[in-house]
Amino acid sequence: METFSFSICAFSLILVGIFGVLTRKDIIRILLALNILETGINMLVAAVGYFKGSSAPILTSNITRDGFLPFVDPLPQALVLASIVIGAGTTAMALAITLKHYRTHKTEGKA
Amino acid sequence: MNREVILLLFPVMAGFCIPFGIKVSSKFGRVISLTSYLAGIIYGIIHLPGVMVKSRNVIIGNWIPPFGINLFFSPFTLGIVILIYGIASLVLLFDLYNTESRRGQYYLLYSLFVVSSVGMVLTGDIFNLFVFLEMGVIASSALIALGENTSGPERSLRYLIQAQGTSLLMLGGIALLYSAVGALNMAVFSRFEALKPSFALLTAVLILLPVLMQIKLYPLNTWAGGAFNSALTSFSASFCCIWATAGGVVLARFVLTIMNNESAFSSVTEKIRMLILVLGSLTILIGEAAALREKKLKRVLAFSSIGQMGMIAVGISAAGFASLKGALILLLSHAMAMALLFFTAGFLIRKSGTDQWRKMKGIGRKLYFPGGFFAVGAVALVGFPMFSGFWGKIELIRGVMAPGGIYIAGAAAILIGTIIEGVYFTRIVLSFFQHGGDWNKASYNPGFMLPSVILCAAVILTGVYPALIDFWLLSSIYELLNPKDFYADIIL
Repeated sequence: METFSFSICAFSLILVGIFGVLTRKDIIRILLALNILETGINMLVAAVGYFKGSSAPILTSNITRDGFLPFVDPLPQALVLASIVIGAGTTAMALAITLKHYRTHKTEGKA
Repeated sequence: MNREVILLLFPVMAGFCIPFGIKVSSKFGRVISLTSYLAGIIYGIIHLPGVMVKSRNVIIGNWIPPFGINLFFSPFTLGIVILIYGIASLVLLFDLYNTESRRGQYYLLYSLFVVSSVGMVLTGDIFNLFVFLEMGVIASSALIALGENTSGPERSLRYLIQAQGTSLLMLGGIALLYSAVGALNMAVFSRFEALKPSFALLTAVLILLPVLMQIKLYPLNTWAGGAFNSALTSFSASFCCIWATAGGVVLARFVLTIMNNESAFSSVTEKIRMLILVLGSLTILIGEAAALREKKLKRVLAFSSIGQMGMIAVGISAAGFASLKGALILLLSHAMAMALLFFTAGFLIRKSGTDQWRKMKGIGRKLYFPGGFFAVGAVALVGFPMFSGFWGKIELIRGVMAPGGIYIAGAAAILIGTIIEGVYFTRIVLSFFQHGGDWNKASYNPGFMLPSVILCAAVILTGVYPALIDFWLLSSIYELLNPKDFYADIIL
């Protein structure tokens, strides 16, 4: 159930992001929509690695009789971290270019 | 330590040194970047004989695939990497004499752009590919914004928004694929049990989107004309040749290796190839028609490049020996001829003071070297006999017609595109050599002459003596058409 609701949230954010990118004309709003899309995608990636009843992928003393407690898949979480960093870089670059555009044309402009 | 990784690290190391080096000398960025690309060529050539005998899987950080990232060194990938470094070196050589001096940051971004292109060709991990793609998008959008006119930032934003949107959708596709396959290594996808058709098709389309944009396939190419026209000539040449070549390699890897008949995508392999065929055919017709009615020289080249990439995509979609041979020859020919055409176009635009080719009437009669180089690049691209594009077009049409059915339409699109290409390039070259216009003779600097002569020699040599690249072509085709023996078994 948790994975399902997580995925529904992710797809909703993705759709909102795509709608914003396709319909907005203002550059800043398009960049905001791209960030919403990115958040949705990151949620989807995180949802992929979730298993019901499992804990965070950190080695602690929580050892059961059969071994370690079940962990969620740590790989998607690492991917999300990388994706967040890349997204921040891209947004910073886009804002810098928007600023350059503003200084040249004295308007936020239309993309 | 895997010494082969150094091939990827040359531009990275140059990029790290540039911010410090420019404090000592303003020319440091140019010199260190050029040195790193030349080192990449030499290092690649040293490793080529060994790789020709047996492809190598280079494991990063001792994490054995499919758990870790790997780089795949084969004749196909290494040959393309040497080509990328070669074009990057020629571009910087052109840059040394033919543009105003720039700050070191430009070369840092350019090195980032080159390393991302090289990484995309070499990597065997799909998330790693996404990271290289994003690196390339960030670097190239910054380089477009640093263009020759005030529309640079706007063009750059158009490109960045489209590229970022498609890249994010690719990440969504990667997540869905990981949920089904449990790995990110492309070799695993190439021999995994078939996924459900609807799921496989959705994932494949999501993953292919940024690659289709990178090779400027319709309808994801609306950014191209403006971006190429706004960017500096040297970067337009790089963006057209290096970025598109890397994209072509990734498309071939996706369509033929990880979406083959025995892969996780086997249930939709034919549908994916059909999609690429249709989009490629439309791209040829739309790109060439746009080039025909275009007045600005650099935009003509941009639309012509769109048409060429459409032809390459059609060749890849047919997935036969001859069609693939044609597509690979055309990929090489496009990289060399387009670089030559952009260098010449940049030189002519600077000397004439206009970017409209109709206003350059008679310029070739005074500036005969640039006029001649442009003519050579044009005939190589169109596919005249004795030039590199000729063998590519012949093999491509032969190979695309072989499967019959709807593929005949693809072959027809290539033929029509070639005719349109012939018309507008003949028109431009004739205009350059017509009587008229009051042009002064110009002096030629080595930064223009040396790269142009090298590229001219390359397009003529591969046209006159195609056997020169036969071994590379055969190795590449076998690798792409037999992913189990020549790719997956080596990696896993």
